[in-house]
Amino acid sequence: MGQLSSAPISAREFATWFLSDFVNPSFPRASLDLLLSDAGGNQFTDTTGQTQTVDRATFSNIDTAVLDWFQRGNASPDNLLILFYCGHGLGKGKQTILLAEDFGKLEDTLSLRFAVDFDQFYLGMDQCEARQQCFFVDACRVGTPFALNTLDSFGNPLIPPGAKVAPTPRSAPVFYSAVPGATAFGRPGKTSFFTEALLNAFRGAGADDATGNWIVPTDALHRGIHVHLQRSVARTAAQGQLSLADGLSAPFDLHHLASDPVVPVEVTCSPDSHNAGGTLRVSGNGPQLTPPAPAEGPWDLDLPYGRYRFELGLPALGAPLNPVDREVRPPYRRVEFLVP
Amino acid sequence: MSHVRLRVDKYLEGETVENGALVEVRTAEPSGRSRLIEKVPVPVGSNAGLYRSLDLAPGRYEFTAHMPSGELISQTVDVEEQPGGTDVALRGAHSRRESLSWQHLLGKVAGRNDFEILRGATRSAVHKAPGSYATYGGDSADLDARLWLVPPAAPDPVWSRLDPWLAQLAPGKPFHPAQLFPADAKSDDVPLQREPPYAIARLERGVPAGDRRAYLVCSQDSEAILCAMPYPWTQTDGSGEALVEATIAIDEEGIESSSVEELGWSVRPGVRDRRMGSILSYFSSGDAVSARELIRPARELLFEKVQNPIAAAGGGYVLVDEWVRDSSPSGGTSDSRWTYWIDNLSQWFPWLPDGAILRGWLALRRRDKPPDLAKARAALLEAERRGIPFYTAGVRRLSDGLMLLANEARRNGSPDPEIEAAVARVRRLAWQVDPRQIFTCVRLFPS
Repeated sequence: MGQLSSAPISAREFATWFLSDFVNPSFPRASLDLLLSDAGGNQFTDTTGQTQTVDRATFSNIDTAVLDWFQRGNASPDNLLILFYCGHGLGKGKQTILLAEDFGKLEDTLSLRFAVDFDQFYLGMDQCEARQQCFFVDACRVGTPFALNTLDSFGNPLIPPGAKVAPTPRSAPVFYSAVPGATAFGRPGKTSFFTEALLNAFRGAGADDATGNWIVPTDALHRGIHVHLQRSVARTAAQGQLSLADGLSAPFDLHHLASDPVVPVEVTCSPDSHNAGGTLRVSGNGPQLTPPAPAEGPWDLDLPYGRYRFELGLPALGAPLNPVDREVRPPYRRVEFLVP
Repeated sequence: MSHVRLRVDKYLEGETVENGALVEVRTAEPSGRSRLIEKVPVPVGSNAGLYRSLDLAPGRYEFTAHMPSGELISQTVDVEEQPGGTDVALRGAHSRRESLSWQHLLGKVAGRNDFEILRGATRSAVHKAPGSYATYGGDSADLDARLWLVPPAAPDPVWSRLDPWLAQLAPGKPFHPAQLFPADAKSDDVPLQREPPYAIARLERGVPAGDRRAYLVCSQDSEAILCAMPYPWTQTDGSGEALVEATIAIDEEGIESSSVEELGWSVRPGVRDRRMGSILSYFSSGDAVSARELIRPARELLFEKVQNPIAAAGGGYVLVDEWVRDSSPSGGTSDSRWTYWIDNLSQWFPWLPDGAILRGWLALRRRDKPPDLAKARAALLEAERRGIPFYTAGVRRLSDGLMLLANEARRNGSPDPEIEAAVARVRRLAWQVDPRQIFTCVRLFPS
């Protein structure tokens, strides 16, 4: 396996989002650890413009960083811990193995000394005092003949689980980029599909205003990621990729939006063969939009939350179609014009 | 106030799923921001006489249903004060064929629109894809399904045979699924209803309930998938026997994979339970919150009489995190009836691994007492002896519980060989299950 060019870009994007956009009054931003394996150099330029070289994502460095992170989280049950991993993974069924940069330096299954047994690690993290934890695993989860030889060993757990329980159960969702057995697609020189979907979901599709403010709770985030991922991978080779979430039984507010959410909107004729010849006008919240007709599929728009009027002209029809008035709100809206 | 009769209008072969979807009700005034009024469970079906009653102040409202399949249906309605009230029927996408309407509701097949998009994508893909789902779909002459009914034994005979084989799983290793079953097991072919790219295996109703385990083995070419079937299944509303079926599908989303070899296929078991069908689908899709909201009114029915122990176990998985949370000092309720429910489920049904799994997990994780390691150990080892869990969630809880016990013993300086061996076996199983399915499906091939 070679190094993925998409993974360090994705990790930098997530780190940048965390430093610049993450807002949560209950969990003020306290620390960020970043490890990268970038063939082009391990520099990271933060939001103030300062560039620094960060450690490489070798197993030893991951081990050290995770233990430090655990200790910081251990200071209070009111802490929130977030882990984002983007890179190679092995897995199938309900098992996931995350591979460090030096995986493959030893022969055969010895290399698992440089891999993380994510399932045990996740269980082990319940021993940390921090009661809010959130995990993003942006990795392939496919089995290989190699992996089949490792069925009694799944890597290092980093934090071996134990039976001790804290008085309060933790809330600890895991968002996977791909269902087990599936390939998560990165794109050379760009963020991965999942990271792009995740960051877009933070901007709106994953938001909810049940309490009056726009907040990204972890359960709504799952829906938002799914919507964006489906849109990103449609009509590409990654179309089989689907996100999967686990541990969502006790959602918590992960992020607060500073402004109204941006919502994915799909506009289409039914049947959609008419789309390519259609003229769409969207008005109601800001300047009128006239997005070009798509060559295939629907119009994929991103609109700020609000009320809109959608008008569609089709040259083949004598009479205009009835306009559609819709409130556009997360996670997404689909506007369909029935063509007689 | 104005009376609103709210439902989701969807053809389900004449049936209605009680509490089939969770609907958000919001104000939608032309000026100003919408406001969430409430989330309510509503029936799904084509019977206009079954609805959820709401009393709302006159005004404009948006009703939004997040369906178990992930589909979102929304409709804005002007609710006026009128003697007859207002009917609100949310209409979503249709399945490709009426005979797939249940599968579509439960998220087991693509809808008509999705399918057209997928088919369009397939047509536009380069080279290999166009013929792919003719090969992998229901048209495949090689595809077959066989139901096995296995008398109970301790340890479970199927699991005893499956694990050694999983331990030696390798590409190209020949395997005949019949090797998994003891001589006293009965088997029969299940006719397949071909609906390309799907095939549906419907299990015959009228089989007497008993303590046999049922497994469906679906085979295609040299590959096979073993499913722990919840069969027979008594409707949890007490209205008779529900249809148990499995949808055999290519992974439709993979249609545009660059090579046919990348296409996977899957088997998606389900039950047409008018109360639990939707709940289990929400749960398996990761929407544990909706599943919990919908199951709340059915808790006593599920657990007090235990007319359907497999359904009760499913309810246990939906609710177990809430029970753990409620047992904490800051928990919301003092209702601890669940301890009796789960103990009963574990003890009354010795053929059901899932009851013992829930018992063991709760002994480890409840917060009002220190972890009871001895009880958890006994329950989880017993669960593993009982065989393959009915629920995929059970495979995970069993694996996690055994790993916790194994690590705890190692930490105390006295590794527990029995637990270590059970961990190894269950993790091998976990490696092969399809986590998207609510009921346990085990891939009997290596890739």
